[in-house]
Amino acid sequence: MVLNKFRLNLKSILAYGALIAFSMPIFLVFLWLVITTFSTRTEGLESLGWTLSNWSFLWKSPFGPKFQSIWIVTLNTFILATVMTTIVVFVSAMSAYALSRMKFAGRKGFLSATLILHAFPSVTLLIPIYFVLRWITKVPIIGQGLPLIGGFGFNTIGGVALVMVAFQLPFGIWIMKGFFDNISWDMERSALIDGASRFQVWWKILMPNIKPGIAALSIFAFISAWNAYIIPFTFTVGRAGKSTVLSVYIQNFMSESVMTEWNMVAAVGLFQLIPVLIFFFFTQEALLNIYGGGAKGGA
Amino acid sequence: MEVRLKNLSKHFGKVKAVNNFNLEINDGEFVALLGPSGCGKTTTLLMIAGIYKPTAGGIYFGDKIVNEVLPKDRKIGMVFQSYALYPHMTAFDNITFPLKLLRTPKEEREKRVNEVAKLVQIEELLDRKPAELSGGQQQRVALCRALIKKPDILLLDEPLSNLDAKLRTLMRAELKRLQRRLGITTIFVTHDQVEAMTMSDKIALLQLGKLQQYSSSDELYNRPVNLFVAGFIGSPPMNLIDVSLEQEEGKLLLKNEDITIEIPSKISKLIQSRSQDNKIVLGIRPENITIDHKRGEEAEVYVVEPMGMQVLVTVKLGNLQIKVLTAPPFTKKMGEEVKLHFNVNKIHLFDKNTEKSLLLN
Repeated sequence: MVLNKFRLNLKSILAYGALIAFSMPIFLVFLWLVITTFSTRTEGLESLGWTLSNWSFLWKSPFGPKFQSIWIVTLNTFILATVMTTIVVFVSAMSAYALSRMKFAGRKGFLSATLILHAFPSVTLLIPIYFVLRWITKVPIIGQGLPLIGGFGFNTIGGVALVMVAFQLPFGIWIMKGFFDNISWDMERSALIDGASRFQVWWKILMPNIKPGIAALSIFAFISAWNAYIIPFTFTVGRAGKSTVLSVYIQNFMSESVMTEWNMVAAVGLFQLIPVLIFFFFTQEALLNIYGGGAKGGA
Repeated sequence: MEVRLKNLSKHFGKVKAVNNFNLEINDGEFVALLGPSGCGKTTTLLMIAGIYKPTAGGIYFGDKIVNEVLPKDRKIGMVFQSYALYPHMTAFDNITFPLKLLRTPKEEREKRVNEVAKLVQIEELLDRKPAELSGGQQQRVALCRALIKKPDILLLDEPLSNLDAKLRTLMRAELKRLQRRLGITTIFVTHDQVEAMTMSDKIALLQLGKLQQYSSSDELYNRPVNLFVAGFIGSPPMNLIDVSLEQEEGKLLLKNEDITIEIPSKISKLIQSRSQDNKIVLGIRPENITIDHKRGEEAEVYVVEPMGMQVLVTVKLGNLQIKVLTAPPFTKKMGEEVKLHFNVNKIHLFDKNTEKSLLLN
């Protein structure tokens, strides 16, 4: 008995030991990041003097008063992530419903095409997309005359969101299709007999039953928009310009002419990370569900 | 509302799920679509519901052809095998969902829910979600949801198959009473012959998408039109024995190497004129064979299965295994000798090739 217990303990000690050993580098890097943001300089994990000056970007622009404050940039990032998430979820849910439930010509081809698109390296499309956005810019109002998102053209939040939506959709459609596939046909048939239209079936019966899927996709899309760099960087202009988002803002610290202030980069980086961390803390269960592909307790 | 199916067919690719199905259901009748799995019974029901479109043929409600009418406009209520309740809604919301879609005022909705809930005694469960209900309760909720629109036709897809045995017997009787009380034309699908026979006025027995026989349970049991019906209906099933027709000393005999049965003279002429070659399948139900009779065919007890009210005895007659139902007590043991007497007035005869009954028109 005693021996058994000991063995069990030994087993779990080994397991935990291995887990800690593997997680430690990641944890230390985060710790380093935090220490760095509050230090003038660091030597490894050791601070060579504590300071709050790295966080001064919170109340004054480090590039001078002509530039956007961090709060506007954060708001931009938030708008970008929200707009993109909303569009991705709605469009994915609608097309996934059609792909899951309806028969139409080209359905199979469409499915495999989305899979290929999902694997397509987005960087290769940057230049053509640039021209598309420039063209959209010329469209009145929609191009660059909309409030909040600026429009859907070049150097607007809406434009960046549109491009990111396009890259996110194949993934979203596949995830949502998996969730729809798991809902029994009977429920849908029953709703049709009860008097619902196809759209009502989708909205009133199926959507509430794939909430875990919607949650998971929303979180995933939101986080990937929040952290996106290449697309916002390519399709917006200017240091801390009107449409800049956080990831691009950080990049501004790393110019060639001036010495990079790594401590400040770390501070802005940590600032960008905080919402994601909070978000993840509350939603990790739904997020992990995305690869489970199942509606818990549904059907 | 009368329902008529005229040459109804449904093909899925090359598979003929339903093939030239004709059926007439009178107003207020309770009809079962019975058959083994894959026989097309649920497909037929879904066509009546309007979920599937027929490949050919017509569905008539009264005099009106409804092929192109949407499910929601057919004035039907349906209970699914899985009940298909909406998990995110309470029982109350589930039941009123059809009314909500019709924009019925709230007071009216509440009144109607209480009416139907009373019918099946679920008034206390209305604020629960489906996950908090037992299978039987879920089924009642589903039934309420089907009834609240006051449908002309009620469709039930294997309504009892997800219940436990005791509850099933209870719901069988309740459903039958409810149907009689409301007088709604009801079509239900089942693979369970006991359900079909106990509940319905008429049974349509299907196999491989084709209607085999459409009649009352009594007819179906006592006058099966073909070999499939004979073998499907009845539990324990009918004994089916390959024999040939032979004439000896002016008598007509059914014979194989193990058994010889003389055909009563009143049907012998019928048989002679109908049977093309001499190959015949003899059908006799286990209750129409008497065991331990003083005279008869000698056989050996193979296995004895007491069932309480009756004892099912399997006997070996040469190479044949024959099932016999007899009243308890049955004292013979495995391997002992018994004598069998066949009640020749209760036999069924089928043509081996066409599988059709030789006794019926």
